[in-house]
Amino acid sequence: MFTERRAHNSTRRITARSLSRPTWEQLQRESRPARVLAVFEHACDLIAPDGSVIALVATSLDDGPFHIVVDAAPGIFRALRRDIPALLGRDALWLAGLQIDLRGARRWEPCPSWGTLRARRQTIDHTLSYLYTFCSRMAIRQMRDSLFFPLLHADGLLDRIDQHGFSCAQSAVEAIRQGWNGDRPALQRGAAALAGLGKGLTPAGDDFLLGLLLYAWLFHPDPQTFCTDVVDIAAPRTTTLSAAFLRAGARGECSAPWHCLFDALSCGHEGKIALAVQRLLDCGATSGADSLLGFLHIARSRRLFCPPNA
Amino acid sequence: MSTQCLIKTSEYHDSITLMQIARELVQLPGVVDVAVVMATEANRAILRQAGLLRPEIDAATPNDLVVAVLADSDDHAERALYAAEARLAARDEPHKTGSSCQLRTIRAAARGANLAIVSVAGQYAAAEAWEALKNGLHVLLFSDNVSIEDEIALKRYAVEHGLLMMGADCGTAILNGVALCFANAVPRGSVGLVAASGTGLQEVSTLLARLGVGVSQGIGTGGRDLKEAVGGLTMIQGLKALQADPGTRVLVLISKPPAQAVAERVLAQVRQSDKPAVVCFLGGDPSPIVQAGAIPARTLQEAAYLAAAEIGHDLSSLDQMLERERAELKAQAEMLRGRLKTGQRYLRGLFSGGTLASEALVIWQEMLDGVWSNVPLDPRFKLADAAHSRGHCAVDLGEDEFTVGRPHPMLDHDLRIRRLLQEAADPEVAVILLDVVLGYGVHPDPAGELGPAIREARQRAARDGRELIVVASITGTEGDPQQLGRQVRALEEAGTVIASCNAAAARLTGYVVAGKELP
Repeated sequence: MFTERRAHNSTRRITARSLSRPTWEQLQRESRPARVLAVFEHACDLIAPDGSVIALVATSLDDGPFHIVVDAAPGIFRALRRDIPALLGRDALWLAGLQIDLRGARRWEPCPSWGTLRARRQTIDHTLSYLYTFCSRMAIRQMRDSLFFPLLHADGLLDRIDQHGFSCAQSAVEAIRQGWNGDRPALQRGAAALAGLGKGLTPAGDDFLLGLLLYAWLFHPDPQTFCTDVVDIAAPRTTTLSAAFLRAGARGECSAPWHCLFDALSCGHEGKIALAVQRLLDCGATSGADSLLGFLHIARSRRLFCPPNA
Repeated sequence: MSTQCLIKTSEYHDSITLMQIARELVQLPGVVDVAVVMATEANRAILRQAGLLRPEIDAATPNDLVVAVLADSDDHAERALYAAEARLAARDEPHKTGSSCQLRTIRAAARGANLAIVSVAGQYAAAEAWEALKNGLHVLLFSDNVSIEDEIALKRYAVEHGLLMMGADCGTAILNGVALCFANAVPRGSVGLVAASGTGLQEVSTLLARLGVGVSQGIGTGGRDLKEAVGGLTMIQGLKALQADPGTRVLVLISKPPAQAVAERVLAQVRQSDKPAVVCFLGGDPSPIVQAGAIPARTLQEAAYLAAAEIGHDLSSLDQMLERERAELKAQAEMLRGRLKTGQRYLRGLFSGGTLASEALVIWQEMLDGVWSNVPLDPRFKLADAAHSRGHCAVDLGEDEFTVGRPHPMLDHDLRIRRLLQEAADPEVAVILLDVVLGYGVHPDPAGELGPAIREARQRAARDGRELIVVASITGTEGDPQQLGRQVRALEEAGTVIASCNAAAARLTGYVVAGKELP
């Protein structure tokens, strides 16, 4: 099923199925070293000296802003360890006896067509009502573990740590709303308080901010400035990996499940919205839910739609 | 109490593992509280608030993992940290998110499967369907917004390779006794159905079930299959398969009237087998069907009845059945009409299933002088504004104009309830017809939502001195998750008149307002 050949000196060669356009651009420079930042069952993150991150992911995961999807099942990275050196080349990556062949990999664009989406904002506005309804009724169980669950439902948080986290987040969330309306200090205050907040490898507050950034790309009059203001404050306050996602979000880049959601919102098909939400909620433990709540919360606070039973 | 912590420098673990560790630790004896978080500034604030902040955490960076434990003793706290250390040192387990399989591509999932249900955004759907076909899988393509060119290409490939390509926009199938997408719990049997209509397949299969007749296979083709461009590729392929299937003794084909050339090709295939074929081209001309040696059915009700008769059920003839039903419905209609106030003269059908709306329109066109609709049989009666009824009116609330930004009415009744109350406020409305569709994938308790709304609508009319008649048909079986009997009782308690099927509901409501003898 997977393309895998053993070369002479036990180098295991696997092919890349796809890679993000920014990652491809990055790799067009001359070969340079990197090291393994983290190893997981489904992924291995590399970090270059300039701090940029490349995520090697198995086919069980989706395309993302700095992802290379390799034709391999989960567990392929088990032999790797943190800090193992890697070499990044134009046609291949090498690390610890593993060669990732990039020739033939499909280039994946992590930026949705923001121009097209913004032109369909009216349709998206209408559809946000259904998205909210779906999340608050049918997807409620899957969003239960999110730190930001109380923004969606009257039930409280079950976990005590999350309860503390939410109490820290509440004023920050309000500050973000003020920041949307032009209050820059409030925006910075909110971003600073949410950055790095909560559980998870990408902390819940960062994921919430990511949802906010993507919403800004849809609806803010100046998304570039808005997103830069958020990320300049947030990125230094969180983990390296999470900062990479935030910076990508600030550039308007996001993972494939978000693309699916935007597509579903722009065509207004509720079945597709439901499926896109499920796909997003599959991301991480609560990352998908946290980011979706960030997206929904700013939408609601702008009152562009009125939930049916409001 | 004892607070202790473990700091793992520059150590990343996936979020699900971290969450699992926290949950496992808090179950340990003596452990009061646990935090497993990255040592960011914001999380230090949480730890401080929770009473879990230790001085050593000050030196940690955002890329460091902190496990902080509050326990009733030093010993218990230490044991918890030891367990955390061991857990972190072990290989991350493939995380489980509640579904048994995390495979994200068809190729990864293809092993061991022979059918793919594809339900992704339209622009990606064709690619996924191609992936499935090329991996040797049959396909049920639930997605819409797939181009007709893609649909044709997919179907041609599938036919060439002996694969079923159901869809695009196919919502219902029953294969080897398994209900796929929106379908009902029906017994296995020997009637095979091929349908270019999801609710059509549901109505016929559930009516067969009530007659004690089971289904061998229910193949959905997608709504466009019988258009000229597509040429009935899946209908013909499904027909061939069922003609060759030893488990199928009677065939039923269901569609709105197809393009003429397509109808000819389909009927030509019907002639290739001796198996009796009941053909329901809703409201279409029966002559070509008869000439093909098949059995024409004007309505879904007739299709089910005729198929059951062909299986060998001891039933009176269709004409006798319809005559008996007509007499009963007329008597019932007369009784209901007697409650109406002068001036109440219109019927309003509020449908969630497009084919059920079409079936009702076929019946009403012979009973009434013109029925307005957003999906009219006669284009002269196209509603200018589907949000507002006029005269006798049938509204398909599943059409695009109602579903952009809203759930489909089979999933959420909010819009239909609002429309029901709107119609109830009209003093000229005599009777309202609702179709209620049960089964897998649809609303878990339609009667639970519609019942109170019907009661409210009737009460509002009563306050104005009017009797509002609400008639409902229920497409479903006792084996469905919603339980047919329970739904019937709930709706009857709300004052709803329950008809035996959609066709009967259409006749009953037609009789109420027509008040004239029928041929």
